[in-house]
Amino acid sequence: MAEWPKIVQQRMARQASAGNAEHPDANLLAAFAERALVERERAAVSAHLAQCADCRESLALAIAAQSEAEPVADRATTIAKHHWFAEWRWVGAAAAACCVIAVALQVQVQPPPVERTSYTAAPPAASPPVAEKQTIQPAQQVASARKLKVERDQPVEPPPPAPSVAMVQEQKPPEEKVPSDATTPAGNSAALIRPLEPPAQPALTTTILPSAAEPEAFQAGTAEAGQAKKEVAASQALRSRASAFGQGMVARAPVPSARAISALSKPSALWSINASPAMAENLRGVVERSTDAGKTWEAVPLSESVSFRAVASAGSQVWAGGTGGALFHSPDGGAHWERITVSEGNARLTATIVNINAADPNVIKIATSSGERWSSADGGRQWTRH
Amino acid sequence: MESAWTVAEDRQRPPYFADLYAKSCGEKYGLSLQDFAGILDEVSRQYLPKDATPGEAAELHHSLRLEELALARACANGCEPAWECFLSRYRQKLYEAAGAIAREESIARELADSLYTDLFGTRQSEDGRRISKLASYTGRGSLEGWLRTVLAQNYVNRYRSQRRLVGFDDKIQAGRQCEAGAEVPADPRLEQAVDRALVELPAEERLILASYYLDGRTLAEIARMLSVHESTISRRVERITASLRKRIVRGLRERGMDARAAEEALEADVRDLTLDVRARLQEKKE
Repeated sequence: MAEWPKIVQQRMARQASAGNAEHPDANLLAAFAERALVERERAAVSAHLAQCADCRESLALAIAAQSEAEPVADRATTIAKHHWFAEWRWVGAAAAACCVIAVALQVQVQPPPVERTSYTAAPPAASPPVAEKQTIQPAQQVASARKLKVERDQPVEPPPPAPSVAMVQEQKPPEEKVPSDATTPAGNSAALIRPLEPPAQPALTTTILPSAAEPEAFQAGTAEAGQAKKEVAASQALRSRASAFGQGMVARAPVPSARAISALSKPSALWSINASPAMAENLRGVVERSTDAGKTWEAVPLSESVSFRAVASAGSQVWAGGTGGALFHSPDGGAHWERITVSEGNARLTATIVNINAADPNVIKIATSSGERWSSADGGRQWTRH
Repeated sequence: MESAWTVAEDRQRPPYFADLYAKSCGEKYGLSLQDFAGILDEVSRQYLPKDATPGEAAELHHSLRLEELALARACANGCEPAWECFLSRYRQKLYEAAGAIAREESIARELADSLYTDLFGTRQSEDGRRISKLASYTGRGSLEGWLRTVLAQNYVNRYRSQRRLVGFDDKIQAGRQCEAGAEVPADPRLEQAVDRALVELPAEERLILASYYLDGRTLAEIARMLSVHESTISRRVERITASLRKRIVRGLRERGMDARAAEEALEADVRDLTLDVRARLQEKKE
């Protein structure tokens, strides 16, 4: 166990007493506490705070006053965070279990046409936009983003008990129940993932891929029929659990170590917040995309001032939200992005978005850290606060 | 060089200004679009570098708390409806926050009254207008958060010196504040290595260490300060401390010490010169 040499404490104190330059004003300190600063500003304020005991104390007092003023909300947030951890631990285990059945399905079934049919791009509605939209940098942003290699020995928490494989299943819109044949024994497993008819509208395709997914593991999973049946049930339970957060596999990463992986926007794309090991300790949430089944991740630099907390996708529609009520939307699988201002009348969403439900491409639901609920029934053009 | 975001004429004004103005409800409080554009211009000058691109300016403007910014500036301009709105929303919160910060009723009231006076503005400018502290709110964070922070700053500025006199000995005994006068003599190479290792740490890591080891804040308090989970701070404190130690040892070896001597220099008198990080990490919140 590391010890803390007193000489270090002394030198820190000396550096602090020698380095108090200009103090950040209350605007910057308040924005720091609310994570509303861009990375450059945040680093500068952090550097000052590290040296200035007075500013640290001011900040701590202000935050403590907030906590006392909103004890219920604070507790709710804390509880939600713990709940979130517990939920995702369960989801991780369930995801691993689902992988086993996916192996059987993948082996026995030819490449399912569902993946193709599921990604029909949703045509934008003809009505003029009401919500303000700001076009963000196009695909070259993504192209310039750094690629992050996911180490194979980094397991999803908790470590999957079965070989890492991929599960690709079509999920109907949330109001529709999963077809009853989805629980038939694995002897008929081909029917489980093959759509009876091409869906009338883009269906949410959910993929759960442990970061260490290995192609060869797909071949290893010729599961027994009874086991497969259990696993299908587990996958349904997983989806049910996921629905608790927003009826879609919405990636949420209020804590950097979380490895929540979102729905697919197209067959080869996964979306997440800080999924790669290199970002695991990053306090700022960054949207990441993987086009190789989770082996490597690339950051999608949407905004430096926003710490992202949730990402969701349905078909080619991708949504990402974070601090300051920032909401970004890509209608084309991440090639182009728009910033959406969520407002109704004079009310504007400014709290941190912690959950996005985009299971239905036209019905978007948002939950915030302050407990607000917003929804749009027209693909994000008009919003209603609940 | 003229900055990219300078707004001098209506025709040069970015087209999104009108949308932001509408969202700010500034018109309700008597702010014109030109007034509003001037405010955004001022905020841009304050926070953006001179060579900032229009895109960066747009991102800053969109991130502002526009409605609260317009309300605060309208109050500063003496708009009565704005003041009514401000008082109904924030007066109670201001006094509650003062109570939470000061802990003592008389001090809390004095603190809140003093800030309220500053917000209203008792001094006058050359043209006879009141100078309100609300004119310094820029909308970067919430207005409520700004009020709390100003209260906290005022409290620290006014009362910290007194509390320092009272609590100095206690803090020394608790090992929380290490004053320069209490230093133990050290090998200059050790000081250099430690200084360099500290400087090389990212700013946020230095902030975590300072909050934990110098201020004696709990993991939960630091977590709230950085808006992360307590367990994240716990892991980071351990990791940073271990990493810092390695850096110092490496620095000592670069300065001519062998590995053993470096470790010994860092250990010095373990009984007096080290704090057990594990014990600190396991401390319960006070």
